Amino acid sequence: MYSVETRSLSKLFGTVNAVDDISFTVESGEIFGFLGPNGAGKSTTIMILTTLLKPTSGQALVSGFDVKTQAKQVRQSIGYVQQESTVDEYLTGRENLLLQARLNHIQKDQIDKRIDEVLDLIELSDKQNDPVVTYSGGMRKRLDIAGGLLHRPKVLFLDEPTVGLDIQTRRKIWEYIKKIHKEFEMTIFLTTHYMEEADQLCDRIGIIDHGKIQIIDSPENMKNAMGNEVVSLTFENGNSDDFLSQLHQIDLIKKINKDNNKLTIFTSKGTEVIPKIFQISSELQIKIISISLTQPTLDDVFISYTGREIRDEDTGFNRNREHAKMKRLRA
Amino acid sequence: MNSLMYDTYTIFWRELKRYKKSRSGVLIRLIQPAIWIIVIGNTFSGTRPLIQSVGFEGPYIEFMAPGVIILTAIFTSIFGGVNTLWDRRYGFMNKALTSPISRSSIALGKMSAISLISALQASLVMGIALAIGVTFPNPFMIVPIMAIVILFSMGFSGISVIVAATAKSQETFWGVINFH
Repeated sequence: MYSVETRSLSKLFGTVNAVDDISFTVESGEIFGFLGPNGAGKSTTIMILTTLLKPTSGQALVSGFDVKTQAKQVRQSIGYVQQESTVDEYLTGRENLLLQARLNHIQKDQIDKRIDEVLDLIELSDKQNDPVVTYSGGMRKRLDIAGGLLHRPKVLFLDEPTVGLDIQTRRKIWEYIKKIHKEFEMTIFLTTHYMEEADQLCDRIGIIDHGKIQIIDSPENMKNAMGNEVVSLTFENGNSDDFLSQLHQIDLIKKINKDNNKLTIFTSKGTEVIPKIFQISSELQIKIISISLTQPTLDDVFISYTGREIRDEDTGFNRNREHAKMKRLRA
Repeated sequence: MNSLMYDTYTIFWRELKRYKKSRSGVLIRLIQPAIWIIVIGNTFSGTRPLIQSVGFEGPYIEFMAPGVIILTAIFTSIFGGVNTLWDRRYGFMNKALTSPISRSSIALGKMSAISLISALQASLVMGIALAIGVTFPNPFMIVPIMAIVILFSMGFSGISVIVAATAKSQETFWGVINFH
């Protein structure tokens, strides 16, 4: 049995196809990452899988239960950590976990034991009786994750677990996620738009854009499929169409991405390809301004499938500003 | 049924915890009814012929005190839905909706917490009224007064929570709530 299974799942908002006929499966015990630019349909998919939204058509099973007809059973078997912190600021860390435990119907005599256990895991035991107002962003996120773990769900959904956190904290959160995965052997379904995060954590990645899944594979296979070297070059003058079509005829080149006068060339042997590129360019009288040889990253893979850069910094900033605004209103 | 009670209590417990941590609000919300009862109640005491004409034979303050008490209850509970707006904005609502608790317990928990708070506020106003000389024919009158306060609070907090939970935007909520 799969932990998550969707069959031609679709969600329409008005005339916009937020999720467009997607089918995929997540094996039990695996860390599966959903990767995509903002507005690609990641959060909508998670909201369908966590029973917050009803799909327009298609079917989704979580832990074997249908999200449409067996919502209660689905809710009993999932943990959901939202993108934004949802802990109550004026309650202490422990009170927040107590609330979470009660929401998830953990047996009364188990509650204290479970809370101690997760507090220990995320290393917040010494701060448990402080109000959350005094916590840093990273500590809040850890508390959020702890809340999702308390009832030991079969599937844990993490919606962009490290968005808006600094690099050190991000790495720390990754460690916790790995630890959780090892200790509780649960399936983890996460969304992210950080390539590095998907590379570090996930067994398999699905790249989603415009509501469609572009590819699902392991990070290694994705990078290998791109060839193991990347030649990036910028050029000026000359007919770029001719240049491109001639480059495509080189056997060693697997894929070329073009962005104005910038080319990203995926190849299996960069050192042999570069002289050939110069040969072609001099024949066509194209001037090469710069050229470099690097290892492919998941960023390259990502952009080759989605074709546009992701701009997470923008939304991160706006979200914080929005948050601050709401806080002022509330005070 | 048992689980509905437990879930309602969970939400009720959380709402009260939040309320307790914002104690300054209690006093601020008491200012307006206190001013009414003390200032208006005294300045209008010269209008006795008017209230006598509707058949009331006591001082003016006694005539208006029940109205102020019930208005306190109505105001407190109709604005009680604001928390629900925040919960939708900050994701607590989604957290509650993805957990196995029953859906109606969320509304019931909130309504009972708001009603308790509003009964508390109303009894404080009643305390002020008693302190400045309002008298009851007999002390047991408190029971029907509080019963009516709680009944009104349940009703109005219910409306407030429904509007807050279904309003598409915050503006809709404020528009509807100010309409009452």
